[in-house]
Amino acid sequence: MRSDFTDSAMAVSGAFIRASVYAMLALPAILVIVSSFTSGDTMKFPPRGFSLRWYQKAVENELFMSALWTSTYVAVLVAIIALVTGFAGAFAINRFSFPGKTFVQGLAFSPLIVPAVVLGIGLLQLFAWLDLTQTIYPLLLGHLVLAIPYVVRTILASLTLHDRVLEEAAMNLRATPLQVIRRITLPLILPGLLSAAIFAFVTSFGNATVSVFLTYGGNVTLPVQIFAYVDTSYDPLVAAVSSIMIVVTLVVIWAIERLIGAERVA
Amino acid sequence: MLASSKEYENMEDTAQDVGDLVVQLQSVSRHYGETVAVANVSLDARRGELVCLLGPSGCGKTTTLRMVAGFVEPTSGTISINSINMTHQPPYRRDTGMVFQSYALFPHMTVAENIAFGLENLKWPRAERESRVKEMLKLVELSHLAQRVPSQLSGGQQQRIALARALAMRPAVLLLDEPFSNLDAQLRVRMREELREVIRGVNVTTLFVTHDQEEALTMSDRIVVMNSGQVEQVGTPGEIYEAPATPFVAKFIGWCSLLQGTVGADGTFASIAGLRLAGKWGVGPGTAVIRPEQIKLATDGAAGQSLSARVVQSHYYGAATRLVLDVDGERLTMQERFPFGRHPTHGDLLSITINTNEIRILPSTPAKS
Repeated sequence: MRSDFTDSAMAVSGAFIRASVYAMLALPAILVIVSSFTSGDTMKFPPRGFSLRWYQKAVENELFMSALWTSTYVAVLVAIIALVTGFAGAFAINRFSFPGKTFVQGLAFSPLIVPAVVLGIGLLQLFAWLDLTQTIYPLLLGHLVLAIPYVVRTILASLTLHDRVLEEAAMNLRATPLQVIRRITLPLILPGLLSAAIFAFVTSFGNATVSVFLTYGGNVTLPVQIFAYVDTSYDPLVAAVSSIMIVVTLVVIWAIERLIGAERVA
Repeated sequence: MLASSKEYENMEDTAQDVGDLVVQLQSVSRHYGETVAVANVSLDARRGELVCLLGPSGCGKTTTLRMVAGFVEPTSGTISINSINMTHQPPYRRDTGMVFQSYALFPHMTVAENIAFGLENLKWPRAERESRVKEMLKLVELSHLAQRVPSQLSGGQQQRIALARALAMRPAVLLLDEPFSNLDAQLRVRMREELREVIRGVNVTTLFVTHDQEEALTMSDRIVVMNSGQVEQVGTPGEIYEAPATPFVAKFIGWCSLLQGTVGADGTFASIAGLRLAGKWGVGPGTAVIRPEQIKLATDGAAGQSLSARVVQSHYYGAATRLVLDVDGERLTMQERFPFGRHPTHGDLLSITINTNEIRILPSTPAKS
């Protein structure tokens, strides 16, 4: 009887805690999205009236739209490159023993330890020295440094759980190592690749701390642009831009799922 | 079918046995650092023969099979398939078809795609591939499951598909790694009979790994008994059972009793504890191998040769009861069918006779560990 009571008390408090965590995760985004539809001139919750005027302003705003484009294509490129290099790295760590393996493994995870600001300053100096500051490469390479650890970790976890006997079976059925990877390994760790790609995209798309050091005149990313804007004004335009950003993120996640998911059927 | 011209150039290495020897291992060893998994194993399988590698877990039988498949490279020795040296060829260049212990069906492909996988890699034309898949499904009587995925199949069905997939490529050798260990007892016996029938039907040379002596005895043409990386004995099931070469083989096959002792000048065996068996064996120290069926309950007429035995353990198996007896200080195992309600229990005294004509005494060999 007593344990029944404890059980249900635990269950109820568990559900409550879960609900609060989800609420705290989702509320900021909901708040921003809701207040972006205001017809007033200040960001307020609950919003006054309903209009799409701030969305119209956002779409007409050259700075924000070019920043959105920059962010999107950098993030897509980062996701693709990080997926390829991250898979190669994870595969090597998982399959082979080579001198310095522990070092490589540690190196792949080190950007998770170094504070983003420190990384940003360091990369800025590096790219200045390489004379690359007026190009897109600092942004791209900086984001890759941030994204690859996530990709390596996620794919490494998938590879560890992957049943190697299936690869042996494929090899016994006359598949060459490349065919084994293409027809057995990759399709079977697909869920891992999928989340790795999403991790990489989101890491790049939402990053401001490192990006702020690596952008230049023509190539400002959206988070950096939002920061710059909020510095001087606080109108619902940022809310509308942020909402657009959330939508783009969701669309890309959906697209990645469809894209990689579709290959599975073929 | 598989060998390139380059591989044919290596033929002279093994030229002395062209023709009927499909698989040939010559002094094959595999070391893992200090550990010796397989030590100096030589064996061969003739065309259409079913050879079984039998031994306890860790005896090196699976490592040997994996060396034939190409997943493990031998530390020394040579492996030939169809008289072509394959020792250092990767798995995908070897003409073998393997059924894995876990079956290893590809979960993201249908049954038909699984069977077609090897044929695609061998670049069979589409039409031939499709008809071969149909043929194989018919062979294992699972044509209606062609479009299912492996997770929808029972263990027995998965095993048959794995067999169909391996045989589809018409490999020179079929390799089976403990194929029945994941099936329950009844299904195991049925699948055993089915598998043997299919293998006989296609007449494929087969290497088969098991730790189950019953499986080995019923399925094989020849058995290779292995122990701690070495071959203990090679022979037909009859030879292995009736004429074990070493105490290990005797102990591993069947429930026999092993008695240490000496054969005296009159040919009588005396065990260490004092049990005496009259016979005509060669003089010297040795081990007597006594099978359960060589011990019978004494009939009234044979009172002179009967021995007194006390029941130590009694195990009821339905068709028979297995008894562990104490006879003159030695433990002997016998098997007998008792009438219902008359099973001996612990402490009962029985009168038994031992058929000494069939008992073998293995001479002690100096220190073979």
